[in-house]
Amino acid sequence: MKKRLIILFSIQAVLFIALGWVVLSNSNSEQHTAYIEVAKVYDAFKMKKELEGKFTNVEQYRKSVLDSLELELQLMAVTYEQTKSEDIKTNYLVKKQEYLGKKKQFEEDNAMVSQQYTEEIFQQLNQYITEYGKEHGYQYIFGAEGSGSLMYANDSENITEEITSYVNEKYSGVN
Amino acid sequence: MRTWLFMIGIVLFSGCFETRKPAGELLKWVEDPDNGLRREKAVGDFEIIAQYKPLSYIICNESKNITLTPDEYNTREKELCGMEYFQVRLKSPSPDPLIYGGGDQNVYHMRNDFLMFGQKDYVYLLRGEDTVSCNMYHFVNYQGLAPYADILLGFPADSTKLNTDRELVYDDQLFGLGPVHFTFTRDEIESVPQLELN
Repeated sequence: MKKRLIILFSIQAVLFIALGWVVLSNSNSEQHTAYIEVAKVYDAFKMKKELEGKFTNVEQYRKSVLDSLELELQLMAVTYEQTKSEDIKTNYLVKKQEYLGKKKQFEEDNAMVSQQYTEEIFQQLNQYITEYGKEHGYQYIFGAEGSGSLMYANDSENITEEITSYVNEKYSGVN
Repeated sequence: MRTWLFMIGIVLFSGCFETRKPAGELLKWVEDPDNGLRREKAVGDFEIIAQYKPLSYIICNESKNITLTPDEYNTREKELCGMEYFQVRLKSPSPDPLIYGGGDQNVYHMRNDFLMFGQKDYVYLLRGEDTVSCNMYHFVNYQGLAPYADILLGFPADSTKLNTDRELVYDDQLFGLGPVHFTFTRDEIESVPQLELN
């Protein structure tokens, strides 16, 4: 009888320890999970602002080149209306081809540069978030982007602000 | 009596912070990332390492094991002064950064030419409100003998901007890394130990 009791108690003890271990390990993994609002982090990322500024400058310069050509074309059209000169008409057509060619080239270049910058930004952003996760012992950092991939998360698990200041510090090369 | 004690205290206190190091130790000190003059950053597959190079560090490196006299040291220091020196190291997982991601001879030569002549326009130093272009740019290609390539940089020094942090920007145009920033604070730059001369 005694033996049975001892065995029963031992089994209960083992089960209790196992249960405790499972609960503890689960609670630990929960502590090391967090989420960020991707759009907020992206918008506040210094690199994004820097490259956006650069891109805007290039875009504006290109726009000014196109605007000048467009103005020239308009003037030529007015002159042609007044004079009906064949030379002006020929020049106008040549200029128009130049304008259309440049416009197409600029549009393609802008799209390419924009894509290149986005890739560069995400390359560094992902790197710094990975480093943050490793440094702080996170098992997962989820990205909430409003697309439905993360349906609900408790606000206490939101580390958007911490991540934002971390990635900006990392980008500046301070640490 | 109090004044004397105060004076002795000051002398002892300043003695604690006097940092003079022999050449070998100085080199190690400057290259130690904990001292802030060497910054390492991983971006994608690449590791970019920026080294601030104080004049004493350059002179020690040049003289190797030869012990310099104060006169020799001062002469070389005068030749070097007027510039702030940095080194950027591009370290790739491939045996040579120029062949990273595959590519044929044309890609190799295009990258080599760009790093020799083109990249110069994409490296600058932010000092206070100023953006400073480099005066000295030298690309060191190790021809596949090392998995990295070095770029030696010199920016004109400005005595009015000595009390500012320096932010070195290496704006990569070849490997899709984008601008990579390294900040060296004023305190870190000022904390360089002096070289112990015989």
